[in-house]
Amino acid sequence: MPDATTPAGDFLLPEVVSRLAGMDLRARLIVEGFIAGLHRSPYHGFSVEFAEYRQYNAGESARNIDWKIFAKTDRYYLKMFEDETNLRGTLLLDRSASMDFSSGPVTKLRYGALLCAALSYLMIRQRDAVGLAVFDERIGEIVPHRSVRGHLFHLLRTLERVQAGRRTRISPALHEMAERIVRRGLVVVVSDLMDDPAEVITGLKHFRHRGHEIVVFHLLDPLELSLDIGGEVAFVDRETGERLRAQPWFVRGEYRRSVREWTRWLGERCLENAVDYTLITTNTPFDQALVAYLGKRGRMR
Amino acid sequence: MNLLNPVFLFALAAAALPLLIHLLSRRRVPEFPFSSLRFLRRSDRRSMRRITLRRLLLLVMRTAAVVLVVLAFARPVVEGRLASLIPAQTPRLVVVLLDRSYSMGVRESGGTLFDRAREAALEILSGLGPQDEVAVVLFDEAQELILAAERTGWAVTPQALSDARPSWRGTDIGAALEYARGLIAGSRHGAGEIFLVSDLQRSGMRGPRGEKGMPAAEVGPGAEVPLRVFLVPVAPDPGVNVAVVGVRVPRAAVHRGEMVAVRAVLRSSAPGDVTVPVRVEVDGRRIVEQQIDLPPGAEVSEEFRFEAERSGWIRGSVSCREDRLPADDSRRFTIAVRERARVLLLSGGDVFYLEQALEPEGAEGDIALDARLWSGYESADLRDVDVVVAGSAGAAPRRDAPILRRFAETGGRVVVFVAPGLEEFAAALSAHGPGIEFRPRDEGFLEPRRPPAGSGLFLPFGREDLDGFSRLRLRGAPTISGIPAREVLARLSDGSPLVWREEIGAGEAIFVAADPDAEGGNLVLSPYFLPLVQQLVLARIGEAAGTEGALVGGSISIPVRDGEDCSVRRPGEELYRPAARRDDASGTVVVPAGGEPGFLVVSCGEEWEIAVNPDCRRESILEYMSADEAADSLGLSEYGAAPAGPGIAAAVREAREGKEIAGMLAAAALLLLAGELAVAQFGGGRGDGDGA
Repeated sequence: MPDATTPAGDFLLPEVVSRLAGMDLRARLIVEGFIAGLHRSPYHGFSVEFAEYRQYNAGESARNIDWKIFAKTDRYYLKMFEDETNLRGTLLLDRSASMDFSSGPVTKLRYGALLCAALSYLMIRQRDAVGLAVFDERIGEIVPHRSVRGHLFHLLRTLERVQAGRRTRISPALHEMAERIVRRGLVVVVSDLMDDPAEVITGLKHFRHRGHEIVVFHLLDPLELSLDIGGEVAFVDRETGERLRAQPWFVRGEYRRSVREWTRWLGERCLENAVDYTLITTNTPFDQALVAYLGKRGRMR
Repeated sequence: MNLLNPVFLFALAAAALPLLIHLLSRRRVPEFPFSSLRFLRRSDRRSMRRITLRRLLLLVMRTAAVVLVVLAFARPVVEGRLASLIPAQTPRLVVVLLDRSYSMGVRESGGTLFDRAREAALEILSGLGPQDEVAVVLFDEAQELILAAERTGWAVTPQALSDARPSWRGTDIGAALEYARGLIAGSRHGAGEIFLVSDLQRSGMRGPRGEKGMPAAEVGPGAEVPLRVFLVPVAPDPGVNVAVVGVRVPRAAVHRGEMVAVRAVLRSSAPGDVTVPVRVEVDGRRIVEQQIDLPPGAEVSEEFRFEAERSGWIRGSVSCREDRLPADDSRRFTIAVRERARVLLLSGGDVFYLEQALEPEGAEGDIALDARLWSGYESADLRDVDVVVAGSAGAAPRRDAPILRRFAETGGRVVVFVAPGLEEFAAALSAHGPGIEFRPRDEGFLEPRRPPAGSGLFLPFGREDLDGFSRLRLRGAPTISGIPAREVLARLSDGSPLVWREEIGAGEAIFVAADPDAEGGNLVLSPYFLPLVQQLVLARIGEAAGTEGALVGGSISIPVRDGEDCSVRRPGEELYRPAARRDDASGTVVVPAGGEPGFLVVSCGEEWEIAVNPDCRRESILEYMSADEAADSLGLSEYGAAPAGPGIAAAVREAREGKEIAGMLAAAALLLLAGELAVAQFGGGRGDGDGA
């Protein structure tokens, strides 16, 4: 648990979280910290399983006021219940070599794993069935969907062990996963999408075709957006090993334009296909990703 | 191009350093693992081309900078056209011509133009090399060699140069250049240089002396030596100069108590009208002062009148307000004031024409006349007489001749009109005695020969007067022989003497072979008779014209009698010195006027006082030429020019040895390094892997 003197938000910073040992601890930290930050969050459910009491705030619906407590204490309290669902969430984590890039303390792969861990924790906490698939140019490890708490341990261990793989081929992996996941549910794709954008969109559309809701977390390193590198360097492609000598100052402008165009195009295509697209850089606190997820989750209820 | 420090060329090997760094840096590009090259490939080709260009540019800039720095240390010198005329290290005679004409005395802030010129000359001397032999010449209209061809010792400022001051003379730049050429031609060296430090006054160009376009001095038949001429103009700031360029004094005799008219001529070089106060002083007293308006560039003459209060030589001056050139702001003059001449007219009867000519009615002349018959005077009467005129109207007693001769020997003047009846008297009076022969002439008229213009007796006569005089018709004059030619002042058309002058002791006798009566022709009725008689009585025959004086550096002729010694006291000198030269043919001595304005006192039997002034006619016109104009006027095709100032030594050195471009190279190297820095910074900063 976070120290009482430490703002919970600090634990949502990637560099802070990544320093902690144990994926379960990290996932819990992220989610608990996130929830602590969501004080009086509307995302708490109101189903059958009691969770906690919360003080009533003016303007809220009076439907859930516990009148017994009011009679005893002369104060208004809301009776909160854990939400209950039968959602099947599938986390697709890209582990291609390009994900193993970092200009800071956290690689994209590490960030993605932490994000998946936090989402797993959150989903399991909400009784959702969570499955995980790690892929590069092919589907790698697959953890099937379960909603029991013990499944979380399995998920986290898988995420902790994840290593960078080979080239990214998103489209075949998405198509394959779309075929494998029979029940409709929520598909969360965590990837840098370093593949042919049209093929990426085709793969995502395949999920939509099968009735899935899709959230895409487009993970990029800040340096990949800015190319803020000095001097003359020989760039080495992590996936192919290809070398390219260039002066970043000279190509920076065109590079940024290209990246901006690429992400804009992906975002527009995702929007067209009702896919939630969120561009996240590895220095972004996790709560942004969780907010995006919860937004989607809330809309699906 | 020459190199003053060629040993530094070895450092050119350092130019290989940038190339070495360039080659080494090619291997040191750091690798940068990146997620994907997808978006970098598009710019790859252009980037590489840019990198190559930038590397090459940096290499070239760095190499060039190193080369330029090394060359700058080697001190390269680019030879100009002038420097190539005389090969370096050639022994040569360097002649520094320093203008000291009085126009160099123009005042400036902190000194005179001459001070600045002298500074320039010293700067030039300080810039000369140890192998140079030096001569320093001060010049105006003349030249003075104050330092003659010395190899050593000239580095110390010559005392004569330090003591030099602007003179009172005008400028003759051509003559000075000729003089310098002569020095070089006479030197033992194979080459020469002339530095002309002058205000390059337009009036100083008195015609080219050299051959146009030939910058070489002739040494001998067919031989020439290389010669370089450097013009160093010392141009003053423009300003107003008003000069008293002349003073005209009366040419006729002035007598005590008369009003004297002195006419001053002034000229202004101001661009507009100016009004200046002009003052006349006589014998140290201010006589007149008045304001005079002067239009630009024109001469204005103004007459001043004052009374001659005493006889003898009086000294005066005309001055205007002192301006930037004080030398021409004052002009001196002298005037001889006489007492009225006492004349005794001796005749045998009525000599109306002579009396009228000597003492015209209604006019107060210069003569106090006393007319008597031959028998009506005594020897004692001659003591108060300056001149005795022996007229006609009857024969003169022969016994009077010795009396008048003694009168002449004691300094008097006897004027004899040799009319019929006076031949014996004249012969007795003449120093030639029996040698002189008078022969009666036949009836008829004779005309005088036209007298030479400007001679003493006929000085007041103009050209037309002399023509008219030669058309006179004379009758009854005898044919005379036995008169030495040098004594004859005028002749008749047949060659017989008409007027001659004999020196008798301290005095003189003047004989005129004409009858001063109506019988003698139309002389007495002509307009020439009165001035001729007045001249015969009053004029100093053979006297130099006027008393306007002499010019500085010039001379003046003083009439002198045989056997007399002359001495001269110049301005500023207490001692009398012998006169310079006697001209027996003209009966004068030529007195050099000296080098300073003032008053000359010449003693030749009697005393003369002569004003000495600078020649303001040309020198006071303060118009200056550019170096190019001066070179053209002097016929110089190859010359160097550098205005006098603090940089004159460097300019001269540059002209002689060429232009040292080390500074330019160093600046270019700095510029290149700055450019290299900019390119390197623009390309991502230094230390970016290309070894910068």
